[in-house]
Amino acid sequence: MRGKFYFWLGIYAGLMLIGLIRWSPNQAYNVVTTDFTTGMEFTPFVVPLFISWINFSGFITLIAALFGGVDLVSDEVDKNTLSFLLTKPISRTRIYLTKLLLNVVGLTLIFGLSSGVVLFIDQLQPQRVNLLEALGDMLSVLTAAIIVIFLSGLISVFTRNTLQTIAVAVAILLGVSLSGAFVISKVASLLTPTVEVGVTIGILGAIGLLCGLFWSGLIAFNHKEF
Amino acid sequence: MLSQTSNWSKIAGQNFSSTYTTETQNDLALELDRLTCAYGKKVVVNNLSLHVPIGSVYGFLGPNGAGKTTTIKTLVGMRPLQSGRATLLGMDVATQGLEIRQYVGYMAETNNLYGHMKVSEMVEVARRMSHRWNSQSVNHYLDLFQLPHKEKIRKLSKGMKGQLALTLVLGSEPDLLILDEPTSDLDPLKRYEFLNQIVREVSSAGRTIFFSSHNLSEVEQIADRVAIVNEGRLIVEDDLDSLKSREKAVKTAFDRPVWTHDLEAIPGVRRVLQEGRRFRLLVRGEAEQVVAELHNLGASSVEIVDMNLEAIFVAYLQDCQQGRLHESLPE
Repeated sequence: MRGKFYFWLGIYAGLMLIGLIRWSPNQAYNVVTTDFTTGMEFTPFVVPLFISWINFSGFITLIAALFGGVDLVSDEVDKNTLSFLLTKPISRTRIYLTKLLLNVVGLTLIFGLSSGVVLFIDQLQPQRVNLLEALGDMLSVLTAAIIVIFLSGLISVFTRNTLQTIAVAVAILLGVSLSGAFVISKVASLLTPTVEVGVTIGILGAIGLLCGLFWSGLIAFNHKEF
Repeated sequence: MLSQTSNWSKIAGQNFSSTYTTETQNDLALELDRLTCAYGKKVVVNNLSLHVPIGSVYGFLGPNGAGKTTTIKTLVGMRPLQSGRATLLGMDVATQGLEIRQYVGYMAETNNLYGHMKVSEMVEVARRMSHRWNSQSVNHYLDLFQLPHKEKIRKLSKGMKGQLALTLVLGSEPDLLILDEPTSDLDPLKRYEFLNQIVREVSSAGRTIFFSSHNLSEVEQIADRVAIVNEGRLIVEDDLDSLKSREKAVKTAFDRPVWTHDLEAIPGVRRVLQEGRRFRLLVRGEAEQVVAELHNLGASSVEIVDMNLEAIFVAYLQDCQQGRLHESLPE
């Protein structure tokens, strides 16, 4: 567990370093370019550092969440250590909650820390991101990551080892996101909802998904035979 | 007047028997009442009833696949109770699993310790998870088994892992120890040390040990009560001494030719094994009557010999396979 934490901490530190070298400072800001066709001078638009960071670290965070959740239970079944936990005077609910909490807190810590550092450096740049927008981006990435942790945790109750869990989780995530994108595009084109409605539906859906996955994982773990 | 006396004795007798039964119930560390477990439609444990007295060393015997591990997993809370009742230390498995696990120590068949941890870290983890903890005894056993504190568990030998697991189980000061095949991974020398350790622990603190095994010579050394199961059913449960005094072999020889079925017809004889011109009769209960009967048949030599647990075990299993279970059930 501690090893896994340090592993991802290292990955994020590396990513941050690469990102900072690649996108900071956004030197292009001061460069005045001439448009050859019109002969007018303009400063080109530069994507703020933080947006670039969120775009690729969000993807990595989802992968980290997947790897965090997949060996929640099945890894211990595989290594036979689950029997050590289950036969101690600790309730299964507590075992499951502790494991989930460790993963969620660990990922939040790593992602929050590195994003905070990037956001701080971003704010020093001439072209910077809106703070509120940045926090919203971080929150949505974290929510997605926690949903992935809960989902892969739920799957890991039923599978026998980590590899199996990864396979099932990836299959489910791909299937859901593809079919989800298809359905949403159809529905959106039919209803053409406003942005507010879309955001509300998204938030409600995320909360529902979080609660559903959390409870089903907990109940499944409590009733499973090992 | 006479009838009144008999009434009195009746009442007294009833009183006596009722108090006696409650006392025996209180004296049980583990009681199974028609426990049934199934994987899907496959019934693995079938109407199993066991009675383990407090302070006893109880051997739970049976061939591979008899349902021993499944039974134990149900007792320690790894499988939900499907049917029947199981009471450990007076607490019901179905409703009081958490409390039971405070007072019951369980050692798994295969190593279930965290391989990436050092011995000292594992001890700390076990301490935090246990209800009671005796670090003095843990240190004592760590020294006794010469377990290196700084070594990672995955680098220990199988035997050392087993000894560490036992140390941790004993450290939580359980009133009932449930050991699943505790010695299957150990070499003979280690096994001897291990058994000695268990017996010493029990005798010192009045703890109960319930252990499964198919190594019968080792069970014979330490158990004082045994149960034999096969295909999920109980074949026999008894004190080892009374089992051994009940199950005897009679060696006999005749000067004249004899039919095996003549010998099988003698009441009390369960099986006749022919060894050249000699016969070996497996007898339950009245060996003396069989001896007398053999003398009547004109046997030239008759000798009663004790059977060891292994021979008794094999005899019961053979009975079972031949569908003679209904005859062989005692009482």
